[in-house]
Amino acid sequence: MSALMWMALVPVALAEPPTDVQGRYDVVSISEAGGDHEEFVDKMRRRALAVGQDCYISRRTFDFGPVADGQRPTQVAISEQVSCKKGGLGTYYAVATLEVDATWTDGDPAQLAVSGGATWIAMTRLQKPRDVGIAAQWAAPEYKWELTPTTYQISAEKVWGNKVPPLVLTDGNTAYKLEPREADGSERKPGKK
Amino acid sequence: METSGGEVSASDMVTGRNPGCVWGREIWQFDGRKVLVQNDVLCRGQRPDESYGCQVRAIADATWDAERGMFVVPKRVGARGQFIGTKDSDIDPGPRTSCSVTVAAGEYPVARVRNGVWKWEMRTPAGMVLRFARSDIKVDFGFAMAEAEKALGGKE
Repeated sequence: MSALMWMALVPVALAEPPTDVQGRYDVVSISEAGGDHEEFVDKMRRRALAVGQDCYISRRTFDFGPVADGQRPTQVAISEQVSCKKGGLGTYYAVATLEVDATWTDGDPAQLAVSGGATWIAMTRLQKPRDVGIAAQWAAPEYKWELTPTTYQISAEKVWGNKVPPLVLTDGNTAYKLEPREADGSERKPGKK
Repeated sequence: METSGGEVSASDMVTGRNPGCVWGREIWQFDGRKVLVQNDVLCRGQRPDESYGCQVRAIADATWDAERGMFVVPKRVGARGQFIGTKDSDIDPGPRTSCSVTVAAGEYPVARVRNGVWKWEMRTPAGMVLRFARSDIKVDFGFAMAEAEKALGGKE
């Protein structure tokens, strides 16, 4: 096979400014400027294992919501889903969501600025005693999350056919690839918001 | 710079926003740079002997305008906590293990009023006036569950 033919068969991710951003996107991979590239879930699981944590971030979602045609979302809900296993609770997901302002700047590169905020979530399962006494309680580990105001460079990957293009958000030396996903993690089709 | 923090004694207000929940409280805290709002709700589980306590905080940047006596929040922050059981989980599925709270953008005028005793009052950007009581007891979900059972005892 000639070199020219080989090059033609390699998938090339072409990027362009995004024109229509709405609905849910999951972060699927992280690339560093040095060339490191890793699936998001693998990186988060490895990071948690390294410090001996039982819980790890298993999903990060950017939800731009439904938007009227031709308009850009002015808010974005960014979620972190943490997978945990604990006695009395079993295996469960804790999802912390922050709804913050989104500001768009056209240009090359286009930019998306998200305002900051912080949250803290906790949950307790209680079981009524069979007789007089206090309820049995099982508390999930608290989850704290702070989102610093960030301005991302944003581009959409060029896709062939009738598909929602993935997005790439770049913050300094780190690039996050976001794929359009449904709430159950399946691929999101065009026209669904 | 005055700082204050307190508990809004308004279980009905909180449970009204969280159908299926039997107890709730809202806690506000301020300092010169942040406004924190926390919602705690106790909601019935699908199994009759179980309840779930859900807690969520939203923390937004703020400034204190001493001249006008108000906190100013430039950017809205909404926060939501959700806990989802997997198939080998002991947690109920469904929306009853979720809770949310918002710090709206805008001005929060604060007043110290004397109505027999001194109280702090604050008006939210939506126009709701909240009166704060210093929370001097640490109410936990076990206590709240027992109180809710007592209150519902005559109704069931």
